[in-house]
Amino acid sequence: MTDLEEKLSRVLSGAAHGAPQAPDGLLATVKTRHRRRRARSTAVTAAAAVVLVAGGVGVVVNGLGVAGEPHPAVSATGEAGPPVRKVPPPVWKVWPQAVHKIPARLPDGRAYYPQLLLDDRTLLVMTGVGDGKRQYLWSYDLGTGRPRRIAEIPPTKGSAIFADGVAAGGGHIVWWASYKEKGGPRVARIWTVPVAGGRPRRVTDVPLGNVMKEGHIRELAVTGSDVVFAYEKGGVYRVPLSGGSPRPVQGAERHHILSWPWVGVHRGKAIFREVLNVETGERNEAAVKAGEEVRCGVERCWGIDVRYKTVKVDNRDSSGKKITCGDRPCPKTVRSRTVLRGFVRDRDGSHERDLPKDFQESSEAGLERFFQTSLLGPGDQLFVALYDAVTGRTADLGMRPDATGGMAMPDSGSDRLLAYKVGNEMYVLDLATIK
Amino acid sequence: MDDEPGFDDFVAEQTEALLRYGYVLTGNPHDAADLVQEALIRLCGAWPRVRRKDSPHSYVRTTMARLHISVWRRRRREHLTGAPPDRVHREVFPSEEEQGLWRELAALPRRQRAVLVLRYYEQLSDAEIAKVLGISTGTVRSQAFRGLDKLRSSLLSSMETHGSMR
Repeated sequence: MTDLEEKLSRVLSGAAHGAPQAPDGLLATVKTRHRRRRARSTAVTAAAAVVLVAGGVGVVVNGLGVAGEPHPAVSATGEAGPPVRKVPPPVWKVWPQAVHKIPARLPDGRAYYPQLLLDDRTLLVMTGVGDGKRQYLWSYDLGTGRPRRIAEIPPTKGSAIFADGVAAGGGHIVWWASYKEKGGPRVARIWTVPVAGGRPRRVTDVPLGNVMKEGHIRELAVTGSDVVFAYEKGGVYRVPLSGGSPRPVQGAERHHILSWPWVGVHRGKAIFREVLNVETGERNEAAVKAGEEVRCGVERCWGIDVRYKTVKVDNRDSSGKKITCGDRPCPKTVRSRTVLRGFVRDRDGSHERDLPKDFQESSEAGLERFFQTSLLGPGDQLFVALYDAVTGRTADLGMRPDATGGMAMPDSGSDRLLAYKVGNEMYVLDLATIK
Repeated sequence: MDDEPGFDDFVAEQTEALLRYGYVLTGNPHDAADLVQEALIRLCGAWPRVRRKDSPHSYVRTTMARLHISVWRRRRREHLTGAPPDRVHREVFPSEEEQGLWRELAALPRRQRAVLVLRYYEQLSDAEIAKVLGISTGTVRSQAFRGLDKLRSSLLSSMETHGSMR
C-alpha cells in the first residue's frame, strides 16, 4: 500500500465512527414500506384476479391475493394503511414492579446506552457511543441513580467496528471490536474487564476472513473461565478468558449460540428447532408441524402457521383484452401467502396458545415469553405494545413518535432487559420480575 | 413473529455496521440512513431467497453500493426515514491532513468513491469490487486510479496553500 492508500484506509475507518445512529423505528418503517410496496403490486394483480373469477375458472383470490393475512387493507388509492388499534394500559400500570424510570443522561450530562442487567438493581451502560472519541463502561445503580465507572474501552484506531456484543458473567465483562492492522488480516479482538473495574485486557484476536461474505462474530457469552462466541455464519468457538487461541466447540461447527450451553442451527424457516447442550450432549428437536415457521428458545417455540399457494391468473378482461401491469404484461401466477395463526408453545408441543393477531408479526422482546410490535392507535399515532404470552396481558410501552414522526423501537434481545428512551427518561424494564 | 424469521435479527444486528458502511460510502449521515433503509426494504422483499443462500450480508451491501451509484439516489430524494439520524455526528480525525482527505473524498464522483470505499474500507479485491458494482475489473482499476490521483493532487495543492501538515 502506498502512503496515500494507508491514509485513506485510516480515514475511512476513523470516519465510520461518525456514522449516524439507527434511525428511530427503522425496522417498523422498513416493514411498513415493504408491505406497502407489496400491497401495491398485489393490488395490481388483484385486478386481474377478479377477472379470472368472473371468467368462471373457479379460483378465488381475495383483493390482496393473500387471504386472511393480517396485512394492511388496500384503500381505494391502492395505498395501504395498517388498521387502528386501541391503546392498552401503560406498562408502569400493568407491571409496576418491572419498570424503572431513570434520567436518560448520567449526572454529568453524558448520554448512555443500556447494555444488560448485571443484577436486580444494576444496569451496565456504555457512554461515548455517539458523542465522543472516548467510550466508557459504567454500572448504574437503579436504586440510588449513581453511576460507577468500570473502565474505559480501549480506543479502536484502525477499527471499523468498535465495542460490540457486550456480555457479562462470573464477574467479568466481555466485548469485541474489529481491527485491521497494517499488513495483517482483519480480526475481531475480544476484550475483558472485571465488573468491579480495572484495565481492559485483550483476550484474543479472532480471525475474520472475508467479512463481506462470512460476517463478524456474535453471541458472546462468559461461561466459567471461558468466553464463547459464534461466527455470524455459524460455528461456535471457545477461548479462555486468560487468553489463547479460539478452539471450535465440538459438535457445534455450524451452530449458533442460543443460550449457553445450548447451541442450535438455523435451518430454513426453523430457527433453533434443533438444539444441543454442549455440556451434557443432550439434544432436543422441537415439535413443528408442516407449514409452520418457527423460532425456538430453550423452552418454547413461537411462530406462524402459513400456507403458500400459487394460483394461475387469467390476464384478460371480460372482453378478452389483455390487462397490463404498468408497461409490462401482468404475471401469470400469484403466490398467495396466508397466515392461519400465530402461536407460542413448549418445545415438546404442549401448552400451546395462540398469539393475538397483532402479535403474529411481532418480535421477541425477552425471556421467550414477551413479544413487541408497533401498532397504529387512534389519531394515526404509532405506539409500541408488549405482550406477555404467559399471562396474556398487553401493555403500552409509552413510546410515541417525536415531532418528526420517528420512533425508536426498543432493542429486543432475549434477555431480561428491555430499555428505551421516552423523552428525557430511560425506561428500564426488568422482565424477570414479572411473574 | 416476523414475516420471515431472521429478518428482524438481521436488522437489529447489522444496522449499526450498515450505517457505518453507508456513511463512508456517502459521506453524509442522512444519505447513509436513507441508503440503509432502502437496501433493507429491498432485502425484506428478497429475504426468503437471500436467506436460503445465506448471503444477506453481501446482498444488502451490494444493494447499497449499487443504489448509491445508480440514478436512484439522484432521482429519489424522498426522505425514507421517519426521523433524521439523531446522533450528533462529528468526525474526529487525528490530523488535519486526514480531515482534508475526508473532505476531498466528498468531491469525488460517486463511482470513484464507491470503488475506493470497497477497496480501502471493505478491503475487497478488485475482482470482488467488480462483482459488487457490476462493472469490469478494468473499470475498477481505472476508477480507483483516477480517484487516488485526484485525492493526491488535491492534497498536494492544499499542502502548498496551507504549508506542510506534518
